[in-house]
Amino acid sequence: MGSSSGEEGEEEWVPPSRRPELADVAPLPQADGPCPVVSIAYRGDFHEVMDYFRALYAAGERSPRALRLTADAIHLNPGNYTVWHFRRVVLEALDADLLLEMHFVDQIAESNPKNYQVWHHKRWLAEKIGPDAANSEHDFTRKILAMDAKNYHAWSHRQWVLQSLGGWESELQYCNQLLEEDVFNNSAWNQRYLLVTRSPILGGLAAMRDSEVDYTVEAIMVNPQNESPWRYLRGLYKDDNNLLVADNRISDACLKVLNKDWTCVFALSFLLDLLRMGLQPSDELKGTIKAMENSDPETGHADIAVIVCSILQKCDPLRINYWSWYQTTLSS
Amino acid sequence: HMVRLSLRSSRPHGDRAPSRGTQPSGGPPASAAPMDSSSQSPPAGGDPSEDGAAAELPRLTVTQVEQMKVEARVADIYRVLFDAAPNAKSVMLELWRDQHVEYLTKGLRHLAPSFHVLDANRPWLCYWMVHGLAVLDETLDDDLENDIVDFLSRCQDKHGGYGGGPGQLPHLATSYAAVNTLVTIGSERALSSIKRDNLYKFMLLMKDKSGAFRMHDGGEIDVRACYTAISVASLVNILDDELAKGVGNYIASCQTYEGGIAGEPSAEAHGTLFVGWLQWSCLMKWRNSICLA
Repeated sequence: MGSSSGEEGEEEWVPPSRRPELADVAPLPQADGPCPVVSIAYRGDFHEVMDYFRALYAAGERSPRALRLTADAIHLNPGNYTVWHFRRVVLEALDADLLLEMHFVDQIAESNPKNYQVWHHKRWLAEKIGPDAANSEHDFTRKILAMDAKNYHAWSHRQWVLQSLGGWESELQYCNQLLEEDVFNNSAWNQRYLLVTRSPILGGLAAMRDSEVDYTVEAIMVNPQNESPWRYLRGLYKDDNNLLVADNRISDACLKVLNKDWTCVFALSFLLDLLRMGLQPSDELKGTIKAMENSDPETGHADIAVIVCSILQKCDPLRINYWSWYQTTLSS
Repeated sequence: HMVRLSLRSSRPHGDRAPSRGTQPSGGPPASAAPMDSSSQSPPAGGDPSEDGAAAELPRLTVTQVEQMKVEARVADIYRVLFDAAPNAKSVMLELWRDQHVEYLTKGLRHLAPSFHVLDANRPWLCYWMVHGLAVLDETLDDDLENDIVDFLSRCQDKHGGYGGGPGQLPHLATSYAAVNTLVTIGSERALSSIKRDNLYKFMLLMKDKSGAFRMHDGGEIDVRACYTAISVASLVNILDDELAKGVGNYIASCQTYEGGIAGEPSAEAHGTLFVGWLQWSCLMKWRNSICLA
């Protein structure tokens, strides 16, 4: 069960009521009142630890024994943000060893990787430790992401460490590795976007865009049903529709995909956006779309964009209302 | 034969076709590992791979495997329903109102030891159960109702805001849960138990210079905190320019290249309903620049 920091299950756990160091402490029961609601049937150890915690917390005691008690409380319920907060207060008052503390919270985090409090505590610690913490924090998030490559907290923490403490050097390589393992990992694509736009060593979006387009188009070709690279591709040209329309690789990619699978919704909707932005469809593109139209005689000799829209209503029935509405905006 | 469903997970990473997840090569100056053998097109009417390499069984990625598992489970459920006789079907599709009401009503009084993990979230427990009963159109008996109001008052910090239990630090999420419970109950007693002036002061203390809010004293800043703050402030009518200023901009800064909203700037877009609501709420009043294109 819960051990105080630094004594990892070496000895049997001693309940607070039997600890000599706490002999003078009067435990403070929870003020639930005479007619409680949502009353949890706490086990004996939980009850006792929290009563002792409450006593020291109410007294504002910032001592080593208080620190130990917060560890007990955290092991019982790592979601108790009040305990974590008080622990930080005590750590500061005692000018405690932050690296040791990071080791403590990392153990809790490993078994509770989706708990908000542990990650916040890590961030607080890392900020205090400073740039020296960058490497170990990146190692840690890498470890967590190896177990769950999409853990939102781990990614947020990793991003915060990059932006506050550094360590950008191997990040693109890391993204490449993750995308090799799972090209559908949208979190890795999102990380890639951060790098391409914000990394101080890559040169920014304008510098990276060209190679990124190639990378992304290749990912699309390998699996056109993967939505992530389509979104990413769009993101590479955020706020710059003219450049997007002018980049032939994009419309070519849509065309290639549609030639193999004319029902690919991502290709169709991307194409629609391009047409809307002023893309002048090549003869080949017109041909492909007309061929699709022939599969659906209802559309007649309408404008290319309208044809694409009506095909989308058939291929993406989940969003039929959206595509119908979109079509009405095209007629104007 | 697996039923193909056009399910979409709320985060846009799902895929339906179990094709090979090979990856593009090349990229950064620090060279990536070379691409694993050949690509292979999706089973449904695909062309042979361009480089003519021997077909091999597709290596599925974790995302694909997880997606397939979910689809298979859903398909099983549908299959059972589909195969059931009509009278069995109607029983299976019936909402067990009485059992739910009993479960919720009992839970409002007593919860098993395993709920200790929610010991810092007891206003949420109140909210989930009170709201559930309200949705089922059940009224609480007077004693229970009074006791809930009293309990939440005990969770209310003397300087404002509600904590996860009596004596706990006030927290925006538990404040959200507490206020929504009281509003759901809706009685004069329930509503007047909310110390609005103090709540306002608490929120102002939680306001960050970025315009966002932190969840509790020294706590994390994110979009959830913004949502819970603005939502509650709006509900109890304490929302003013001081609380609202900069929130819209902060949220706008959390919009990602995908178009969705993340928990923090640069993080991945996340499909919580919360955020949509907040966006709407902010847009309604302050017409902030969230790109809807």
